[in-house]
Amino acid sequence: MSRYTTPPSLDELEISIFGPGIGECISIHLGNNEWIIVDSCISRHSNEPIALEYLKALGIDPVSSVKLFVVTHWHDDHIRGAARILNTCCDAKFAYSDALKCEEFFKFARSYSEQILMENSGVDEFNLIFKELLRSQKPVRSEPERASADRRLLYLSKDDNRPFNVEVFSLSPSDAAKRIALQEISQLIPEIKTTKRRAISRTPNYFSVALWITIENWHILLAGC
Amino acid sequence: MQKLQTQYDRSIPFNETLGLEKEQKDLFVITGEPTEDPHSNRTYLPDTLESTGDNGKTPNKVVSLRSPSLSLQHKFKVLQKWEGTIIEILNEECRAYIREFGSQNSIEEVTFSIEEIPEADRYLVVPGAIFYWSIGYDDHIDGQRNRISSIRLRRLPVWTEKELKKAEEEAKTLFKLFNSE
Repeated sequence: MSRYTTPPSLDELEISIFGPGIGECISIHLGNNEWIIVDSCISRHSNEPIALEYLKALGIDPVSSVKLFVVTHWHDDHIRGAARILNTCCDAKFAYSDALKCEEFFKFARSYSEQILMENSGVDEFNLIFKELLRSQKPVRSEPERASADRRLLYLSKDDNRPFNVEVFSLSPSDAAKRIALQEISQLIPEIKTTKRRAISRTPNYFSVALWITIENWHILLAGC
Repeated sequence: MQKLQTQYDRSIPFNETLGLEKEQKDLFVITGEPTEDPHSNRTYLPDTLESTGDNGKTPNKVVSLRSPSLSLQHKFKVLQKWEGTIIEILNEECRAYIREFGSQNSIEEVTFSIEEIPEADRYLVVPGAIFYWSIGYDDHIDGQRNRISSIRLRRLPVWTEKELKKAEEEAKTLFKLFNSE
């Protein structure tokens, strides 16, 4: 697409923030044509996940270039198109919030999964992610990483081709945040005979994954909301 | 609660709204789960229902229902329409996300007084409730035109035991699959 320019050089760090609101999707060039994607939204121009549209427009192959894809929380408006990114970037590590591993979250998501009478349920994209993960189970894809406090999600060491050491850590959710998140998700599970509604997120967001990225001497803090 | 069945005379102009073919017979049955307002003891039909032809064949179609009296006396010309989701109700004010109807992007956050919502709809105002906000002209049969802003809550069906049981079973299966390491 002509509105994008040339790709960053192999020793250039680049952070791109996309989205109609407050930066629903972020792509980061780590150097050596290696990228990470955080969350997702859809491009109005191509109806594609915007990070994929961007990489393709720069002439970059997302299949081999994306090393890590992180979904910070479950809200549809921050992860639209995430299942398509997972499908395309089949070699990338996938990480999502450890607060979403509980059975309550699965029950919550599945309860909202077949609301044919509304355009979107609020948790549609995560249901698509489940579907994609089931489709691409081992040996095609490695196990998803559970992002939580002080956990290293990616390490790429400097070598002849790679100009930088790269480390990506998740800083949240903490154990305390996970406990609150579990309480919240339990309250969102619908009860029999209650009127159907859309799943809505609450603030503060106790599910969210904050990321700390170190690329050689540069440090990037990405705090989801 | 039993499913509510209502017969409608096709002489009222529902044809387009219900998307029926001309050759279909004059009477048909629509079914849907009613909702009850515990405060007024009134029962409301959901605004989307399944229709069943009187020949016994189910068109398997979801249709919209409009009040016949309203559609005969008024014609509403929509200038702009949004679909919204109520996020929070605080001090008689509703905080909501809205997006232009049919659009996937451009979510905006708005706050409006609960008084903007018709009294009959207020029991439906809960976090997660879906509404339509329309701005347009209300043309009356006598020729008068008024510019109006209208917020209408969707009356959706209820979650059934069967649906939630299915969700629970699927959740158990998924949980085992994703926690097998």
